[in-house]
Amino acid sequence: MKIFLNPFVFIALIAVTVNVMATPEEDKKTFQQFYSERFSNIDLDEFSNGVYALDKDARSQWEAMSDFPPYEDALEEGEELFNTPFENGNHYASCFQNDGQNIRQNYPLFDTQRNTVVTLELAINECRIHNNEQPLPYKKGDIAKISAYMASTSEGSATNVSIPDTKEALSAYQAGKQFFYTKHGQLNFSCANCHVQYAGRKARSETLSTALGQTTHFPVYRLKWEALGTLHRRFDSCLINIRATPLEAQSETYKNLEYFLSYMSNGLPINGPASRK
Amino acid sequence: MKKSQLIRTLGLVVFIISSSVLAHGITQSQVEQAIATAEKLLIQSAQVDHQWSTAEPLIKQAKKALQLKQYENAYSFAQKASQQSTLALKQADTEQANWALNLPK
Amino acid sequence: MKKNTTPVAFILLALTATLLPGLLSATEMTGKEIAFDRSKGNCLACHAIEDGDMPGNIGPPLIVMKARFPDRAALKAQIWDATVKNPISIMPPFGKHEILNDTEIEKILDYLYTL
Ligand code: HEC
Ligand code: HEC
Repeated sequence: MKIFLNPFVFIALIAVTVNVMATPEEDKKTFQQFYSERFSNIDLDEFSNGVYALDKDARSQWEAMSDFPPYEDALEEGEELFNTPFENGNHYASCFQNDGQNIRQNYPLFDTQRNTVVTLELAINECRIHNNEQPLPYKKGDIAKISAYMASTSEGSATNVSIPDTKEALSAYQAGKQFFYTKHGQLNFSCANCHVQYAGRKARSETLSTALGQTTHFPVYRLKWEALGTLHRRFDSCLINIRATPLEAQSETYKNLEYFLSYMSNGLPINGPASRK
Repeated sequence: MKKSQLIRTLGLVVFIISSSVLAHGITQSQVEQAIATAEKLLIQSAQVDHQWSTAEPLIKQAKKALQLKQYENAYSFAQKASQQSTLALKQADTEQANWALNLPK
Repeated sequence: MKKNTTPVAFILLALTATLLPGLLSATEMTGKEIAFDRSKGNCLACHAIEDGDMPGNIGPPLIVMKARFPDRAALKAQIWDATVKNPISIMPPFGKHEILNDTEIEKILDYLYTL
């Protein structure tokens, strides 16, 4: 209760009550506006390049590397895997709209039958299970390669995540939003602490990226991983740094977080896979 | 024996007794109970998606010390683990209202 | 009086040796080392501090502490739990969350007052 006696908290709470109740569309507008005001010299689409939209020095190194992107082989393997038929003769293409081409921008989507968020990786594994194949491990390896290939077919398409007007879809979105702004771990950080409030600042020598555009380029080849990894694997890294125990890949919470984050980037071009430090 | 020597010897005896009393002040079953509590709190913090990565290693250390019959150490590790998860649960509770202050305006 | 202090000292020694072995590693570190160490204070992640390599720029530079924080308790409070003053502070609550213990925080305070 002590918290409510603090006048600062009290006033701030009144001020934010509006935002707590805001619709996803209103949230998205405020969110994108926040960054375009702070970084008024940066085009909105540029945020798809993550930290390299903000850090000029890092950017020139990164661009030098992109002549021979480190994910090139993995991307080719992903295409091959995608086109290899299952034992039963079916292809991945049979599970997706438009044969799986140029659809990355619509994920994650909300399945109103099952009332759950379906990420692209989940859809890939459900496709396998549907065709009597074993599901793949979620964080790296073949699933990241297939997802990378599918992302590449959406190059330049605007992120287009939709939230059906149902109680369940809205509460999935709301749960993701709350997780993002909630402090976690012994070190007591929210995702927003680093990627909203202090985006553009440096933690030691690392520039903090904007949360806007963070989902457009996954899966990502991280030099640190020496491999492609999925978005949920990246969530793990940030949680580990703040001394929080990471969650299961494709857990409801991670899926909801991805749903919220992706929705915030609606309109930004898909540009995955990408490379990062 | 000089008086000061006597006192020194007495002190040594007190030292040995007191440290052995302390070492046996905690029983095996008390340690086991403390570990069980720490594990319960760890799960509770996970259930609200607030588990701290600091808690589980402390439980492991407690179990290792228990195996070596170092009950004092084991107990202290288990208590630290419980304390970390208790703080994590407190964090979860505070953030139920506090999170919204993070929203961009 | 003096004669009685010996056993008392022994008992104290026994207590310290039995109860505080975990603190030994920290007691060997200086305040500056605790402040700079990545797994301890890691203050450089956010604050520029004299002598610190590659500091971050999230928080204000830690300079002229004596003049700006004449009250040691106020400085300690900021390090103990920064969220009291600012509920969404990015600065970790070093004391409240037992990231550092009291001895370590006191050492950091001594060090900060040399800045
Ligand atoms: C202590 C600060 C900090 C916190 C808290 C934090 N991150 Fe990060 N995050 C970083 C840093 C540093 C990087 C690497 C540089 C960059 O891209 O910002 C990063 C990178 C990322 C990336 C990859 C960006 C890219 O372009 O590939 C994602 C996604 C991400 N964080 C999401 C999150 C989420 C979700 C949370 C909350 C669970 C979170 N972060 C919490 C510091 C933080
Ligand atoms: C994750 C970033 C971060 C870390 C790590 C951090 N701080 Fe801070 N600190 C801040 C911010 C931001 C402020 C500004 C006030 C606020 O938001 O709480 C601050 C404020 C302060 C202040 C008040 C400064 C002033 O000029 O008013 C002191 C003193 C301080 N920090 C000391 C420390 C010490 C000592 C450590 C290491 C043990 C440390 N901080 C670690 C971010 C950090």
